[in-house]
Amino acid sequence: MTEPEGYQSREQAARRSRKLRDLALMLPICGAIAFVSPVLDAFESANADIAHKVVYVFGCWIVLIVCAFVLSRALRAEIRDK
Amino acid sequence: MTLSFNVLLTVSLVYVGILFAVAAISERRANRGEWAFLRSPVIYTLSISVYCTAWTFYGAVGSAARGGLDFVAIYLGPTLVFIGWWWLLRKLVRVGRKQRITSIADLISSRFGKSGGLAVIVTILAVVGTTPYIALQLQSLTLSFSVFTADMENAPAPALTAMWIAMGMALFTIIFGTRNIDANERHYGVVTAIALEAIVKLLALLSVGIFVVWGVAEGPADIFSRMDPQAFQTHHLFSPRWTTLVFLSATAIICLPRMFQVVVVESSAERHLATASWAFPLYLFLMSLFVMPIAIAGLDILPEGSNPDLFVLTVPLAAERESLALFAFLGGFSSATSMVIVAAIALSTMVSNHMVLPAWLYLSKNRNSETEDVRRLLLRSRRLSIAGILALGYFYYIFTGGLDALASIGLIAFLGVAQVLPALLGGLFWKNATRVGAMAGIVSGFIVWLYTLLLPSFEGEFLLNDATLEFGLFNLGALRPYALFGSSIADPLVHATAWSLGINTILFIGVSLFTVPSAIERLQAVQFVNVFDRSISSRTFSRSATAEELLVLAQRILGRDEAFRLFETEAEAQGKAGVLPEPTNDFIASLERKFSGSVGAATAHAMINQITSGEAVSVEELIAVADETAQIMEYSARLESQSKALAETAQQLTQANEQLKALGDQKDEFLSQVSHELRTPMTSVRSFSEILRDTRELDEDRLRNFSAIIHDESIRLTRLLDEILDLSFLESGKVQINLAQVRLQEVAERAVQSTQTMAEQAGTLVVLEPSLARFTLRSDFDRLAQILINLLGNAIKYGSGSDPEVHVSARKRRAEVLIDVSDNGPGIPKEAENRIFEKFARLAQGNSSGSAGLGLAISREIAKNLGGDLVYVRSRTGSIFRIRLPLAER
Repeated sequence: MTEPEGYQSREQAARRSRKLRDLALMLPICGAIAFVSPVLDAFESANADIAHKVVYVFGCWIVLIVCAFVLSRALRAEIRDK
Repeated sequence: MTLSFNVLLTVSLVYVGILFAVAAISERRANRGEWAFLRSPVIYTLSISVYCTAWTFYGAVGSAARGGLDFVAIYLGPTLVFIGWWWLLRKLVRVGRKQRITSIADLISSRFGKSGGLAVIVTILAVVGTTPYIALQLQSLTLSFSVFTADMENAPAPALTAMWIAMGMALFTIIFGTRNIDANERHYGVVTAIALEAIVKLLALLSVGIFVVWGVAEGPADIFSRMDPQAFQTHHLFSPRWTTLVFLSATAIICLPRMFQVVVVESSAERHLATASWAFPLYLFLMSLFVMPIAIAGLDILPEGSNPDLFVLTVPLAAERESLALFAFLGGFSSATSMVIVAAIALSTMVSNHMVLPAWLYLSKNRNSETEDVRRLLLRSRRLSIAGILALGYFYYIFTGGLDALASIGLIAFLGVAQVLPALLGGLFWKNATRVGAMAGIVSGFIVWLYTLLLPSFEGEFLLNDATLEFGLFNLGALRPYALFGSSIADPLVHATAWSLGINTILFIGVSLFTVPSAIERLQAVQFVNVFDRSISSRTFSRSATAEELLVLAQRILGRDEAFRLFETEAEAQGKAGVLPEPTNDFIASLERKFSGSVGAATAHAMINQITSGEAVSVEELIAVADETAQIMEYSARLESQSKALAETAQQLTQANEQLKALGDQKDEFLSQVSHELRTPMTSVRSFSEILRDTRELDEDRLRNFSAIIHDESIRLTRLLDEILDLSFLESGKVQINLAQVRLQEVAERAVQSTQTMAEQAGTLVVLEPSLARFTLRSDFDRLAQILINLLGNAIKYGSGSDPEVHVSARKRRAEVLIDVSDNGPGIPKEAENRIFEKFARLAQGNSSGSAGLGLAISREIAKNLGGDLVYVRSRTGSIFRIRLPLAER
């Protein structure tokens, strides 16, 4: 009985680590979409107020940092130094 | 400005003293092996902040005052690279650690077949790209000094200030940056001092920012309301220039020599990257948080025409906060010095490893240079290079003397080192990239960069004159530096980026596709691209050298003690006495890696090859390297193993079939045997009972005799049927086994009792050895006795000869008890050994004794049911039957 369970949990762990890696790839892509794409201009259409832009850029930035923090906690377990 | 120059000087000198002390203390702690703090991810992250130079410290505010949010792009690029650490930086750091990479030039050279030429090219590129950057730091430092000395009459000339600063930094770098020549052994002193400087510059900028927002203005809303809408002309953020800035800054965080130094070379553990992945973007975020408010405040309160690049200093000074201004000055000082120090270390490593050392090796080729110490040469050349690089930066500063706004030179440098990027990424992810391709890409990109960006930045003063700038080289319109081939990109930076990196990438890929990599290139390509693949062992070339020669070389590069220690360890690992190990290929390869940590991959490879004979690549190695071939080989190997498995299965099936057939035959034979065995007693019973029935007058004796025969025969029949029944139960495993603690001695005594009459009749002596008394088993008493009775019976029956004797003994072997029943009879003929355990196997025809020949078969089945076995052991003195039984578990 224990063997299928062990197998299942291994399978789950593998799936989790695959998801984490995919997320690690997604994060810089999301960042690039937020910062280096026309999305950037969508926020300054009507009244071109610089304060709005500042809030948008810094807001996205801090969200990315928080995501990176959460992700790095999870990914750290996958690193085996030596 | 009431702050006296003397106070400024004193504070600076004290600060420098603190930096020296911190560096010295960390070096001492590192020497004592107290790593914990020095190797923490916090120190690592802070050291990466050498990215924030004086250019960003002062220049970001200037840039914000001139162009609004554009300055953020310089921080967003590194942010994207760091949050994507898992895909690029991790691989870079892993490769750097595995290959003991000492610099970016070393990385490129090592990847493309340890090419010395590529290393030189990248080194030149790095020096050309970094020198203006160092000049920029000197300029910003003297500028910030001049803010405080503007009203003074006896103020020192900027050139003099710059010289003192350059000399001070050279001294610091030489003292703490050239402690050891192994660039892979981290510079703990330098790194810790830089971490301290990182904290100072962050706190300084935050303090000024907080002061501006809540001291000068009344909160964030107030600051933004003071903004002059005219000053911050809003244009679309997303523009070619913005994209270029993000891209170049992302490139710079990997390709700048100083960034490569702190991120890859000085990294002590991969998991530090996990922390830096969010902590470094956070650092950048904090560094840029107050840039806009400071710029707005500067434009608001300072007189028109003030240099926005100095707002960080002048805003607090205008508000008469001298101590805050002083703190800000220290922040800028930290930014400049940390950049210059790390850049000088990185460049000096490159120059001495890739230029000075190879040149010296070449020049000393004809001399007897075997005994010369490479270490001393290397240290001296590193120190000289540091001084030389700082001198170069200083003269550059004197020569260009404050030409542009600070920021433009920084970006020019970014694009210069970005020329390495295609070769770097290709090297990490594309196995077919070749050395020639990398060279073509880097050189072409370098030339285009020089022509379209660096040389024009001198505004006609150097090499390119005004006419060339305006009308193109040789008056060819297609060669106008700012409009190459008639392209109409307004921004020179975007223009130069597109052309230089475009041509670079196309040539890199194109030439790579049309050239064939050498064996060593392929070898390194696999090592780099598949660095996470555990199955890729470090393949090595077959080279041969004597251990003595290797030791001499190792002493020259690593020093006497280290070399001996290394060789002794290896000799010990090989199990050899003495100092000198066998110079195996693996050992030579590991030595080469060790050397490359000191002198770079290309030089290490060349030096080893000088003393080894024949860099032969065997066929297997080539096959392993060539990818497609390897895949085909692997596929065919897999096919082979599959077909082998199929053949095995087929053979097993044939065997099973044969066994089945044999079983069927056995069954038939068994049936005929049984009927035969039953028939014999039946016949006699029938005939004697017929006599009894038909003969009227039988005397008493004969009557008793005949009925005794009938009785005996029916007993024999019953026994035979019992035995057959017993055997079938035993074979099917349905038999009941009553396990209990059984003393072997008692079992044997019972068996002797049962066979006593037989033994007396045959005159056989049965001896129970004392060893039997030592064993107690968990077994079935009656069944065990049954085996022994059977064996004793056989031994007595067949052990003919004079003075027949039977011995029963026991001994332990591993977890088993071996009980031997041995006689001194004639033994069993060799050809019959296999048959004795078969059913109805009676060997000697004449020696029939009324048994059906099932005894041994039954005994063996019992032994198997008891968890053991019964075997026949051939012996010269008779036959031995051995019962193997498991020992009782305690």
